[in-house]
Amino acid sequence: MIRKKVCLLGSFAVGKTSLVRRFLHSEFSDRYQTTVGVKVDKKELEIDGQAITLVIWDLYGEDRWQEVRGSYLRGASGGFLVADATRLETLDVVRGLAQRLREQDPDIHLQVVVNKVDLRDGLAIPLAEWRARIDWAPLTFTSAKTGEGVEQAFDALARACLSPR
Amino acid sequence: MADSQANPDRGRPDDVSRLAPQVPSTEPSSEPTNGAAPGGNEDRKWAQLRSLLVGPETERIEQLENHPPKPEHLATVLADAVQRSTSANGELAEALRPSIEKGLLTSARKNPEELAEAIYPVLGPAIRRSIRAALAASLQSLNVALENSISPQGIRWRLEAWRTGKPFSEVVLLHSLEYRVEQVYWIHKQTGVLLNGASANVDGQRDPDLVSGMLAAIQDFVQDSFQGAGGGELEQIEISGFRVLLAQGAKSGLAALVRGIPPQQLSEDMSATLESLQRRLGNELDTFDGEVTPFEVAHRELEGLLGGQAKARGKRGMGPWLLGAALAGMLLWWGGSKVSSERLESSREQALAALQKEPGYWIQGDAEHSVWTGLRDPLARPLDQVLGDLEGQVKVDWSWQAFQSIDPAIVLKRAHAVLEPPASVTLKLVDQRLLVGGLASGAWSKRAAAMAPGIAGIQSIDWSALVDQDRQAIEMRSRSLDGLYLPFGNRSGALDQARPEVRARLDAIRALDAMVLAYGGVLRIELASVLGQDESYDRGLAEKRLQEVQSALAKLGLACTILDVQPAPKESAAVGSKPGVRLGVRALLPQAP
Ligand SMILES: Nc1nc2c(ncn2[C@@H]2O[C@H](COP(=O)(O)OP(=O)(O)OP(=O)(O)O)[C@@H](O)[C@H]2O)c(=O)[nH]1
Ligand SMILES: [Mg+2]
Repeated sequence: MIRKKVCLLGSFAVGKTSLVRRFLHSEFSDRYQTTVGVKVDKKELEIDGQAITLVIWDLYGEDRWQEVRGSYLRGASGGFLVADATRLETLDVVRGLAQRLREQDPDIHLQVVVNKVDLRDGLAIPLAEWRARIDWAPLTFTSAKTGEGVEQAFDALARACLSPR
Repeated sequence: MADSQANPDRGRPDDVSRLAPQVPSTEPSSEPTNGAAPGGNEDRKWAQLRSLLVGPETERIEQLENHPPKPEHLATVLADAVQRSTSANGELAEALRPSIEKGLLTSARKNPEELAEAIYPVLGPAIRRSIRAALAASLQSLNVALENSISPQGIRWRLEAWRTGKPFSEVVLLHSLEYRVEQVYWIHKQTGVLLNGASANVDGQRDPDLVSGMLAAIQDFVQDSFQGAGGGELEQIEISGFRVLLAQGAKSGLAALVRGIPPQQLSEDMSATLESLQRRLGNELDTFDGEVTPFEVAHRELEGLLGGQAKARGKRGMGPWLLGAALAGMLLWWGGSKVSSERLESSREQALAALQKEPGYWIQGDAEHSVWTGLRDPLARPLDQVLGDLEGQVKVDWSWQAFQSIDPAIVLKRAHAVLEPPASVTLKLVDQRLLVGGLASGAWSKRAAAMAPGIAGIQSIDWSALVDQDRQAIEMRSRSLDGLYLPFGNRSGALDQARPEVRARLDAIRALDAMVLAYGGVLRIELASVLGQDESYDRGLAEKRLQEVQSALAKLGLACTILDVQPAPKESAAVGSKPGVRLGVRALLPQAP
């Protein structure tokens, strides 16, 4: 039995909590309730016959005034970095977080998602452009609303966490 | 021979003359003459000699002086050297001390975690032990307060203390604090990942993975929120309805979800469990990467922490009888000294409790010690009566001092001892007020009245319920004798003491007088002469009779006052009044106490 801690990180309102809800309970809500502090959840997966429990730390979103505490990131095997397809500035936050995670643990597994891709008309830049800009880590396009890409993204991170460092 | 004197060596006289004056001035030493006359010349010669003899070695020595030995060489001998020096004396240690101290300080400043990790196994248990000792001391004082309460429940607990060998106070605490450990988590500190957990069968089970994660998050939050403020690690978190007890180690922590108020013992047990787990699974903890299987061996120990709650609640588990039988079996099985020492302690606890509530005793001692000092009122029950069989079991050296207890039971005993009341008298004590009731002789009453105020523990005395039987008797008799009549023969002036009724009446008066005297009073007797109908008014006769009675009384030792000569009342003529002397009798008694 393997348990791994992964952190969900990103700017505020990018859909971190929504992604967890979709992944865990196949639900979605339009209501926005910002996360205060941390919400810990878990999901049991099976990757190639190997059972793994992802302990998912859904952290509050970073903004101009509050950075995520370093101590929350400690001991994480994976970082799930979320950007909002409709807000380009959320990519900067993702970049900054990736840097912090790598400084703390160079071997950490990262997974970047660009969320809310169901909002085709509101994209800040075309998806191809997003992909071009995020060439430094595995990337998945997701929608917590439709469920598109969500499972794949978490699976990919879980798989990476299982691989030897 | 003369030749040799005649041909002396040329230099010799010179030599002698050169030496001669020096001899007295220098001490007769064997100092070589060449030493006394040093010169650069000589030095050079020595140097030459030296270089000839040890030339190649000098070079090596110089080399050694300028180039310190190679570390490889030193390493081979250093361990040996240190060992020898250490076993010889403490100089080396003293020499190294400052450097080592400095090194430790630097290490503590630069890398506190590592140092803490290194010393935790040593310090952890030591610290807990000292805390336990301090706690035990405070329990001891609690003991005193609790010992005095006896109730059916108290006795049950006392029995339990005896059975389990625990101090009574601990048993009380155990029962009075209601708590329940619902879940125990062993959490990897850095990741917050659950290593292993155990839970009691309770409704509304919380997911251990989530709880562990949240606890770790809370812990992280607290730690860097209060880092500067010296806030170390959390020990307890309260969330409505339950609290989370935390035991923190270097690499991992234990958390227990508890309902109610847990006893201190639980925290101690948690720390001990954590220490042992960390020791046993230290390597696995060091290399932890999410694989939790190796930590499954901890399950039993974690479950052990749940165990305490069922007993505290007294709900689960064996029935009391079965439990009692099991314990008895264990006691038998244990056999040895452990049981007897526990027995000894528990019988001492019992003896202490018995003495503490026994009037007239004040005892200082405890179950662990065999010398007890105490105060004992001489009127208290003897020790063997108080303790019964315990007296032989406690194996205590007693040291008693006498004292006067003001415990009501003892004060009452003291009153009885001092006053020695007759069976007809009852003594009661209400708020240090002695109530004397019943029937007593005047003598006793008087003595009691004099003695009672001096009895320790008595503030005031109430005699109102006491009837003085002497006074009562005197008053009754004097009432019946008042108006007593001593008859005279017609026209006779002589008192016929042989007449039975005269005899009896005089005796009665004498007896009353004795009583009154004994009581400290005076019997007043007044005489009045009554003339018969046909004696007309014969004053002479009347006076004669009065004197006759007076002298009769005087013979009995009684004084009397002669009042008057009373003529026969005219109106009583019809009745036919008899001639004689009437006695007025009144006892004058001292005031009642
Ligand atoms: N259309 C659309 N809306 C989404 C999607 N994901 C999230 N949202 C909405 O975005 C808002 C914010 O979502 P959250 O999941 O609360 O965002 P968050 O990143 O957890 O926010 P913080 O906790 O404040 O950092 C909500 O109103 C969601 O309904 C998505 O994929 N598509
Ligand atoms: Mg959120």
